[in-house]
Amino acid sequence: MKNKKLIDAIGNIEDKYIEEAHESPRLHLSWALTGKILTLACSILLLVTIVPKFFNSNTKYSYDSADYEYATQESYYEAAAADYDGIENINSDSILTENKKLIVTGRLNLETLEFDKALEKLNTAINSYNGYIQSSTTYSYRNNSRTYEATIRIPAENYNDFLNSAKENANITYYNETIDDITDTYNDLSARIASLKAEEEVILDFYKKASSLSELMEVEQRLTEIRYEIDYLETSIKNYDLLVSYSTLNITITETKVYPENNDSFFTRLSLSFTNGFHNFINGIEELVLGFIYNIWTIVIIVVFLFISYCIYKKIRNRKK
Amino acid sequence: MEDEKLIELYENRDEYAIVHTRNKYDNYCYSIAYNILYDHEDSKECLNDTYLQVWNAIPPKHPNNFKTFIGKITRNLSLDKYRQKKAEKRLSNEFTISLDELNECIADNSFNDKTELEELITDINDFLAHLRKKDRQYFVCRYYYFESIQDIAERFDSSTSAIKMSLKRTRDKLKDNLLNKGYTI
Repeated sequence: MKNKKLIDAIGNIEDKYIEEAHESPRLHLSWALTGKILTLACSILLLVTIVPKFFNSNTKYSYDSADYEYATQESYYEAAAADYDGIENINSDSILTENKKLIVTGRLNLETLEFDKALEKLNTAINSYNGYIQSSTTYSYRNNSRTYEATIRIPAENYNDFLNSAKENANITYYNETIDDITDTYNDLSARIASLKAEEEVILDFYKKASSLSELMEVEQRLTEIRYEIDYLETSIKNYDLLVSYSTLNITITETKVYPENNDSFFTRLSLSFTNGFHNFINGIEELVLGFIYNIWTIVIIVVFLFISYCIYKKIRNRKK
Repeated sequence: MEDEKLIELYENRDEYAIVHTRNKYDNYCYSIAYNILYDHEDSKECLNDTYLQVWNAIPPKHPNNFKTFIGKITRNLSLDKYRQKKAEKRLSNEFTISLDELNECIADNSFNDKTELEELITDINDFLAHLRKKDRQYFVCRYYYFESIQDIAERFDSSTSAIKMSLKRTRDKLKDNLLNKGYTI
């Protein structure tokens, strides 16, 4: 055999080299495996950041594109304008005539470039028309666009004038109004109260003329029932009076960067699409980065788990050899 | 059982030493023998000879590293058996392929100029000390353990082509190194 001495010499190399050759190899991830793990981690990240959006009904996150959709649908504007005009046509006095009992409830959505100014105008209008704020909320999203929501009560006779003031420094995106005619119900209640009061008078006469204790107790019981019912009905009447005398307006004012243009030009819409699309893209990247940071610990745990699993798999495979 | 305690059993001439040795190193020694002989029966026979040789060697020897000690004995016995079998018939297996690779590295007749085995062992050890760890591991797996290229690639999670290239470069370096030390090609 050739190289017998070389073979024998190699057979007598130092023990440390012999041991080293059969050391458990340090695990290194091939580029392919690294790429696979990163792809899996990115897929998980996209799932945890994007899937919840489909179940989140809050469209304010993509506010700009939603507004653009409103802008291009002229019917919304026409409907809003028609409703608004319709309000102007109503004789506000007729709401409070004794023959008519109407409860007016409106929903007004506004967008504005000058959020603070619009709020200031709104508060001024509320004060000047003797209204009051029943409830309000102000909040902002991560891209710093603010939203103001409030339920405002305005005296019915000032409702239309108040609406005119409220939309100053803002753009109407939605207006809706419902008018509930409660005249019959109100009249029924009034009639019932009158009837009960008349009965109360009669019962009081009986009470004065009662001769026995049992008669007295019976009359007193009936008297109590009548008075309880009168109180209850009068409270209902008072609530109706309040609802009729003060109209309710639910208002939302949202801060925006740009008003959508109501323009038929293709190039204008193309330009707007490009601009809004770019804004959305930037927002999307910001969301992705924030989502990644938010879920960083989940991703780290998943990657560590995958790495440990890979190490165990390699060890088991090597042991089998 | 720890190797120190195993050596103690040999020194106390306790026959359980062989039982424990077999339990611990049977697979290791078998793989060395099989890589050379490629025959189950011959490899088994080699193992039995190994245990006998270890029993006879300890004492007086007290190896510092029992694993490499028994591995070398197995390797040498396997090589002897291989030479014996080679004389009887032509063998072609992974072991002969690795021998052919070493033939490319250096010719046997070069040892006429420098024949001391100990000096050659020293030179080989010096050469290995200057290799990258990976290249050294591949070299020892191939030319000490006589593992196949495929097995080495799987062990180190590498490709066969990368292993072949590394071994080729190492053999060329070994050739140059031995040339510089006075061996002739």
